[in-house]
Amino acid sequence: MSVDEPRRTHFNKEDVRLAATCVASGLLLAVMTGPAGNPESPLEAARLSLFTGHVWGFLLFGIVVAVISVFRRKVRNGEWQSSRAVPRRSMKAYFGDFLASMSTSWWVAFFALAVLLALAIADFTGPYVPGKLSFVQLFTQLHDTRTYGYIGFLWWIINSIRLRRSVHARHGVLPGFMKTPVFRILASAFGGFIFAFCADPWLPERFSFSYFKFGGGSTTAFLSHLPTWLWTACGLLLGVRAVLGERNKTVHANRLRARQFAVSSNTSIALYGIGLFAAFEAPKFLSPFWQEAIFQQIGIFCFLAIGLNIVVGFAGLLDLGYVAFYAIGAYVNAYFSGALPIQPPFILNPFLSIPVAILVAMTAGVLLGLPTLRLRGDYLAIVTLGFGEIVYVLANNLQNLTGGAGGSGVIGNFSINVPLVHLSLNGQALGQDLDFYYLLLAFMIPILILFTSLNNSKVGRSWAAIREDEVAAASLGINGLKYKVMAFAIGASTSGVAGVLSSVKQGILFPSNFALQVSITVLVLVIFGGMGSITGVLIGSAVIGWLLQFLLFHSFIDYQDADKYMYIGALLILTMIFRPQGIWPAKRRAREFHDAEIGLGTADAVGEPAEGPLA
Amino acid sequence: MSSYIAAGLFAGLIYSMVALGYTLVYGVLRLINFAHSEVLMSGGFAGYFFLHYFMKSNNEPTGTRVLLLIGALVASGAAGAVVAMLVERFAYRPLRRRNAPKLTYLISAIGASYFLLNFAGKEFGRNPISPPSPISATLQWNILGTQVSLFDVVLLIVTLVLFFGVNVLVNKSKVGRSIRAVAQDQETATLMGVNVNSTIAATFAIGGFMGGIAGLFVGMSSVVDYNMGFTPALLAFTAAVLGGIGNIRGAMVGGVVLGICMYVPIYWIGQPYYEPVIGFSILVLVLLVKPTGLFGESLGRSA
Amino acid sequence: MLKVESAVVRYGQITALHGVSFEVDQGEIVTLLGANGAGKTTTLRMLSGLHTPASGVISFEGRDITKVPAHQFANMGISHVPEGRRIFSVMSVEENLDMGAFGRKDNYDDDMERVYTMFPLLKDRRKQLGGNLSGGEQQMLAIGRALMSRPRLLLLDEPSMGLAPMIIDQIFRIIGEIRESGTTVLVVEQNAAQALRLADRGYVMENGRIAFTDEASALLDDPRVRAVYLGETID
Ligand SMILES: Nc1ncnc2c1ncn2[C@@H]1O[C@H](COP(=O)(O)OP(=O)(O)O)[C@@H](O)[C@H]1O
Ligand SMILES: [Mg+2]
Repeated sequence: MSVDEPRRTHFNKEDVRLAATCVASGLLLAVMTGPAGNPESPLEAARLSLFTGHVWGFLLFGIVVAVISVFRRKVRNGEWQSSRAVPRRSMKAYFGDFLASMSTSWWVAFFALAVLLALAIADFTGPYVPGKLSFVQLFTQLHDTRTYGYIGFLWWIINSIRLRRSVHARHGVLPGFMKTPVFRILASAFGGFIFAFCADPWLPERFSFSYFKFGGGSTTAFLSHLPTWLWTACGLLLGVRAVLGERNKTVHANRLRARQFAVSSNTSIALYGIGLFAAFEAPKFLSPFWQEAIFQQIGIFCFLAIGLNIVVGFAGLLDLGYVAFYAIGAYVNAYFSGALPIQPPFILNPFLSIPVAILVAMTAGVLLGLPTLRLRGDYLAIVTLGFGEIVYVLANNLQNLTGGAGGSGVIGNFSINVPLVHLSLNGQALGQDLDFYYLLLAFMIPILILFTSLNNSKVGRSWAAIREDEVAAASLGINGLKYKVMAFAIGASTSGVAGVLSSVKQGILFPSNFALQVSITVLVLVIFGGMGSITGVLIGSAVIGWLLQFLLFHSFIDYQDADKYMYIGALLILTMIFRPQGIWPAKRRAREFHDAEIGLGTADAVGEPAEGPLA
Repeated sequence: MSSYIAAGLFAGLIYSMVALGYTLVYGVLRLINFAHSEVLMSGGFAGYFFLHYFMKSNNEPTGTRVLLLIGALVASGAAGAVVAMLVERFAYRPLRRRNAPKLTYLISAIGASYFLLNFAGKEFGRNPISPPSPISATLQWNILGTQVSLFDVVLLIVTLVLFFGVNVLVNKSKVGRSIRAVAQDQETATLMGVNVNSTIAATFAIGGFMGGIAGLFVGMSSVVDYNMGFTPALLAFTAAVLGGIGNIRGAMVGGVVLGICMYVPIYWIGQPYYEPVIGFSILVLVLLVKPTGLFGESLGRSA
Repeated sequence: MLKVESAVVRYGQITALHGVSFEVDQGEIVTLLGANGAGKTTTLRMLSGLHTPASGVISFEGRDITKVPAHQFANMGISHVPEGRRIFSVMSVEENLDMGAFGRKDNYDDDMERVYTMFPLLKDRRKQLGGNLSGGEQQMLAIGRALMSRPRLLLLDEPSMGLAPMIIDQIFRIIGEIRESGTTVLVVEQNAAQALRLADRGYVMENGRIAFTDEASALLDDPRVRAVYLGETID
């Protein structure tokens, strides 16, 4: 067998297995998203999901994924191209070329596919009804104006890929101005805007002018609807990133490293500016529901995620009892506001109980971390898991201390009463949701700055060294234990602060708020965004936090609040398999993951410590 | 007091069975299998469904009861083994192929655990249910001033038989030899002709089988629900560490010692829900004082 | 018997072998020389399936084995004595030998006897844990273990590393015996002089490529080899 001979195209066992896995995943998805069951007739729920129209959509989805992944495998392995071509090409390039070289008949076929896809998406974004995604149901979407939005959008994407590839292929289809960065960024932002338009659930008014007007908190005004701006901003960011990515590459090629840094730091300042502006302005346009959710369901979780990121992302450890410190913060605050059955020696304003909470949470963290972190890193995971459970059990059962499962008394309010500043935030009062949100920002921003600079300081470099190779780090005189305990304690105290903030807002503490699920949820926020990347973690938390709330009301599947952990679990596995560095990774962390895979370094601190496995 | 020791002993047997799963996986992969609690849960559900369908009434003749019990044991063991192998196949193997960092394994296992937990919750409902028990609750003996029920005796026998079986399997059989080889050096084991992937799957299956059976016993002694695996698994991990993780005999002894150490203080405190608190304190204490456990580590040493 | 054609092996982005081609014939002892990091170990690991070449073809006894999974190599008749011996340290000597015969379904007591006659020291220590053996004994055990599967091709990676001269002589003598008994041997060595005296042919690797090849006796006199590999070791 000679090497030059083109490989024959046939499907082997691996391909079949891959395809079967994809189709089976489609079916699993159908069961997952179908109606809930009961133990009396255990297979009834699965039967309902598998033998009604519901399954078709997911089966179709599974088949599409199967085709794509087998295709992708073949291309990646170089089995589906002649020996003359360049050895390795990405799926994207392959697909792009295909689009660019498409003939008219293919074009029509593609259009049909886009229509079908648009119908499916339209069906997806509607509310859940049993029998969802049956073909009958699918075609009723043709009556829905929204469907045409999706068709247009898909069309726009396909065309733009096609045009871009044509440009690369020097067919010269695009006029010059279209290649300018400004145009491309704006076009990308416009794409996001269009997408928001498509994904918007309030349709009937869509084509009337009143629909587009700004109106504070109105549910129907498109321009004051948060997702509109969220999607637009996403588009904008993607555009900026694409353009800058190209420029950075050029600069890098010129070996002007200094300039590259200048470029990236300028843009990141600009991006932070945009983000900050959005963080301050956007919530004002939200409906009351979202104004509350943005504090309790999204903001607090962002805050928690930022803290856990120190432990998981920076130090490379796994902390599964993170919520315990959150609980500690909350109960410290409850204690000092006199809400618990036992009375404090003096009442403290929540502002003042924050330092106490930090101190207590940090002490607990150090006490827990010191003995455990001397051992193998994975022991920390299980010890924290146990610790989280203990705190939960104690909160539930120490009736005289915490008020038990029934909850504590009412917790005090944040108040400042000095000349010029008069502030009183009370979780029970109406209409203060946004104020809490701004309070959260006031804590969050300094913490973000602090953590970023910490990561760029000697401490951050030590963490990186420990992650990459603990033994080598030790030989450079870096005390692994010290920095690991430090990360753990910082994470714990951040969680404690979050506990104080949310306890005031909630007014009453229920131990069920501090169950293990919360730790896992925060973990998924960190992992999904990109462990070690503060921006990534913020984006990931915001997206998932938003999604979990959104699904409650606009779900295309049978989605109950309790089901969210099922999806979270699946998301954790999938992220670890397909993109362990997360969607928006820190450069260094992504590189570490890659290095670890080819056998260089460890990318975490979970292995055996430098002093030996059980020193 | 003696009844607390007995209660601890029998609870400890369950921990031993679960701890074996941790120990085997740890010995081979150097990883804590966080999804092991769901292996227990699936065993519980499988046993429940088996008994739910086949045990028609509460006064079946003894022969039928024995058959039912054996059937339920096999069903729950098989379910545990299958779930453990699925976890290995989908949460571990893709990462192993990529030589991924250990942190990602832990996270992926947590994900698997959470997925299975809540998937079961969705499919089977979230309310606790009790399976009918084929083991008569009325038979009791008084031994050294302690009430010992038939259930306890069955549990003791099953545990001893299973541990004996696993010991023989690991130390004498060919599968066992490949498991020990993979535990020591995967690459060299490959060179000897050992299929590492199927050996690891077998390891999960053995641990899963015991875990599933433990699930059945947990279910029969209290309730079956989607969340039932969590506390026993946490305590079983403590037992595994106490005995020396990676060590089969350690798992057995660790479970029993933990059970007794946990129930005796409850005699003084009198509050059963402090079980996990005591268990956890024992875990931290062991890690502080003797992290290698009572019997030392490593599966390779003829355990 | 064994034929490698332009094999490329990569560790992630790093290319360790840039198209290596060579052959080993039935009954030969062939040695692979080269500086540290030249890619000798990588080559052997590729030959026992631990690395799959990104491109290129390996054939063994006329069969294309490029994509055969690693655990099937022992059964196909290729045994590998890895760099650093890698014996199972918490298994007894006997169990280690059992592991060597892992893929065999027939009775292998004769082979065990043969190994024990070849290395009488091992027989005395058959119940001892592998980890408690001395370096030389471990190397003997590693070779014995590899012989248990009755290989037709034996791959040896630096069998003399870290051993006393007397033991090295013994090991080399045994490699000769193994060839006499009909097993083809491919041996990687730092100890070029001794390896070349034993071998029929040699390949010299540099930076992941085969730099040149010749009869062993010719290589012993080759100025390039003398300068680089025999500088200090020649006696
Ligand atoms: N696990 C690994 N990851 C990355 N590079 C490796 C790895 N192992 C070996 N290499 C590289 O491959 C090359 C060949 O190594 P090796 O085959 O061990 O050389 P030799 O055995 O001749 O000393 C070296 O440059 C080495 O750096
Ligand atoms: Mg080498």
